[in-house]
Amino acid sequence: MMEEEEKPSGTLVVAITSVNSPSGFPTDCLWCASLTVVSAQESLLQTSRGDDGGITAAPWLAAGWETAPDFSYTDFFLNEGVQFHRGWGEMTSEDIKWTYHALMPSFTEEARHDSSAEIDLAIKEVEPVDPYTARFHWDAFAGHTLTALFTDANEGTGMFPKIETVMEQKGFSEEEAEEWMRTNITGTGSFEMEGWIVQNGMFLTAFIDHWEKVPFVEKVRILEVPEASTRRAMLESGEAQIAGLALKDWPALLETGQYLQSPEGSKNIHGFPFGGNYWEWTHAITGDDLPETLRDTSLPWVGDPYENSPGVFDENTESMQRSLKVRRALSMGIDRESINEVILNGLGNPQDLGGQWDTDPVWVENQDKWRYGYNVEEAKKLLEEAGYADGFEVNFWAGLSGEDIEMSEAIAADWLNNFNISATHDRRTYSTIRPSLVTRTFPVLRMHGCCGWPGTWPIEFIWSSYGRGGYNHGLEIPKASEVNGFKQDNTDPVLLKEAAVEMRQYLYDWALLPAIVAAPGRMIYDGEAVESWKMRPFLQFRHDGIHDLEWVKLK
Amino acid sequence: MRTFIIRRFLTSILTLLGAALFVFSVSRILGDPRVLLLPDQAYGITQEQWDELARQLHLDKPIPIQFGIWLGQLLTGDLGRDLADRQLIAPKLPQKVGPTLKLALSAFIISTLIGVPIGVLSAVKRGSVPDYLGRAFALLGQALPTFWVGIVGILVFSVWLGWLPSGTMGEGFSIKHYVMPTATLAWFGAAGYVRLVRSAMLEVLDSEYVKLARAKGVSTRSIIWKHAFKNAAIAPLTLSGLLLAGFITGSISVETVFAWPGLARFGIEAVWTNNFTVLAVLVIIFTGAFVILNFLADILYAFIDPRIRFS
Repeated sequence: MMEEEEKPSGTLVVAITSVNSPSGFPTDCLWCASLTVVSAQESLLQTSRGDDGGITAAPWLAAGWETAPDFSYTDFFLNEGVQFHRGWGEMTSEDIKWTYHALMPSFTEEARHDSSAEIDLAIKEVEPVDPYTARFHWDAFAGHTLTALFTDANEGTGMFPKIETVMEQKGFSEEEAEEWMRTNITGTGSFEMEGWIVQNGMFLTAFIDHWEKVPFVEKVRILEVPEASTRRAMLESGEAQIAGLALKDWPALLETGQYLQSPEGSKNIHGFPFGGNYWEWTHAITGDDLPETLRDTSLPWVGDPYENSPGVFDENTESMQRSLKVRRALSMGIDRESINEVILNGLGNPQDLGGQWDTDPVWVENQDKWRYGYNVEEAKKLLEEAGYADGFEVNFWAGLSGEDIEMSEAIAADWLNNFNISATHDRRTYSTIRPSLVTRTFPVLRMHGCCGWPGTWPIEFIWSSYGRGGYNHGLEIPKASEVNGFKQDNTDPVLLKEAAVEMRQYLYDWALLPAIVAAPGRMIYDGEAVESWKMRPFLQFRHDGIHDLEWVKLK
Repeated sequence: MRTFIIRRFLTSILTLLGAALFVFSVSRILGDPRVLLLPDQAYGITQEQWDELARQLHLDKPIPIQFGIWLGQLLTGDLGRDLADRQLIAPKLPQKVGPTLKLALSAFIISTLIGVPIGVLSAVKRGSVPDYLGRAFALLGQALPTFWVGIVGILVFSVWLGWLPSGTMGEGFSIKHYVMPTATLAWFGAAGYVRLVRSAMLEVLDSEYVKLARAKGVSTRSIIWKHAFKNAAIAPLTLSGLLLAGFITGSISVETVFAWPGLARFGIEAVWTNNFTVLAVLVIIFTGAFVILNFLADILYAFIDPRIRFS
């Protein structure tokens, strides 16, 4: 292609909310996906649009793959000649093995990758068959595994050179090599990472020896600009060509015609699981009892199905029925239309149930069944029946700033006014509260944007003990374990969809995961500065929605 | 004079030691430091590994010994690791201290150069238009929140006029990037100077020895700068030390609005993320900044005021 032969030129400046913490060593990286979304690394597979409009996996570092008929392993056939930055040589299957084992807790105890629990659930081990063939032995292989875990759609990983290469070439001990890799970030992507400085920026330069796509721009400056007004000012003054903006700033800019939305983006389904409803008695995989599980029924929204008979799930216990009324009442006590109009400038779509994009067929075909509406009188009646006519206290978590905070404060004001429910707001960062999500000790209403995965994927592990050891929504529901297991073992799209609908119906009936609104997540760019920006589809919203910067062409 | 300096120096050292002891005590009162270092998924950790971590962190030793080891590490530049990214803290500090010091020093110099003369002018021309203008400058500088001043400045000078960049330090040295953050920060400091210098000068200008100097025909310039200002300088000098220390430690809103990658944002991020190791280092740095600058201010008092020097 002619355009691929052009010499990179110009500097692209992108203003975003946060560049997070640097991670050049896979074991350390909480945000491994950062390196793929800024095109400093590539994953084995990439995303592309399927015939049905959904996301599917396509070759990238791996030119192809072949899965054993019994689904026990998949061989990835690597492209030859893929070079690591900084002269670290050609990428081989040994690098693939080292990278994956370095971020899987079963091989490397200190690993803390965001999806490490899910990766570890799927992958047993990686075996280099020859320099260009990496064999992934599976513990659990499902229809979604390759797209979910091996592309940059979500929280996958790019490839690092194996530590032995660094030790050999630098003459380092293993400890010294680890330390060096932390700050000297290496990958195979279209851009080399010159520097990644916390609370400052990511500074990248075009990798002209790239095996596939030499970028159009020579330099990229991704700057951390925490104040939304300043990001907008940088875009309007021409200091930045692309920026992540608050939704309330969109209409005025888009109306001018000069500023445009990025071609691809994500959706944020803002909502809050009623945290603390840990209803499983045994571990979904091991079958072991989970005796230490927290079930604090003094919290009005928490039920305990075992309060009458330990080990025997009973949905009719006093706390289960009482808490159901409370959850339903609170789900009905949210004025979603007003929140959308006031906080999101009407740019979102009100949505009553969480866990699904509003464009997913599972949602589109069933959404009318899953509406609580805004019904204060009915909610008051339910609260009275539950014994909470005089109100109570709830604890919200919505991070430090942004739309989630505004929404939870709006809801809290409404609840106080209508139900005498007093809300406090936990303002700690996500990284601070994450350990209690992992340890299943988080009985809090956590307002956040979530869940861009297709309904047919087994995402139910985040509401079940399937995901023990990793991320969780503050819920452990036996139904979720059942559905997750079913989805992992089946590939028939009709059955998968039915299972997804069944799960969401359960979440709706038991009012466990109310949503507020589905909001768009995209970057805004200056059409007078950017000539073109080809983007591949993705699901996870990282760094305000950056993706495919090698395809940004400046005027 | 020597005794005065030695006494002040020892007090400063004791204050720093007190701060270090406080930080260390808090780290132990909050519980076992090992829980901050373990990964989220560390369910499978064995007792041996848990004990090994205790050995590495010297938790197997008595508390006073632990404090001694920690202090020794601190003094030799071993500041530990950032809990967020597991990188060493020491190499990161220059990336943060540099921008903050540059901003703080430039704001301090500007605020002093602007605030002191306006304060003197305001006092000397009491009740005149320059006095009212000076007081309005001081009132607005202290009343307007710095984040608001910063955002309005960005709107006017970046978006509307296109004269100045909206934020960040830029690459290399670019004076344009310093103008708005410095001005925003300096206005607050200058306002403080104006009020303090004005009131101190008014008091001195009304004193008997100034009246005598006037009666003896000493020139106005000499009265103002040699006799009055020197005697009125103690209070602004105290403010100087606090102001510079405050600029170094507390310009959170300015660093946030202008995306300035300095210590204040590093600190506030550490608070939000429970990043105790970073926070401990920053508390020591911030305390050190206050202690050193106050120590310097104390020495300057002695040079300016013989009563302190010879008492």
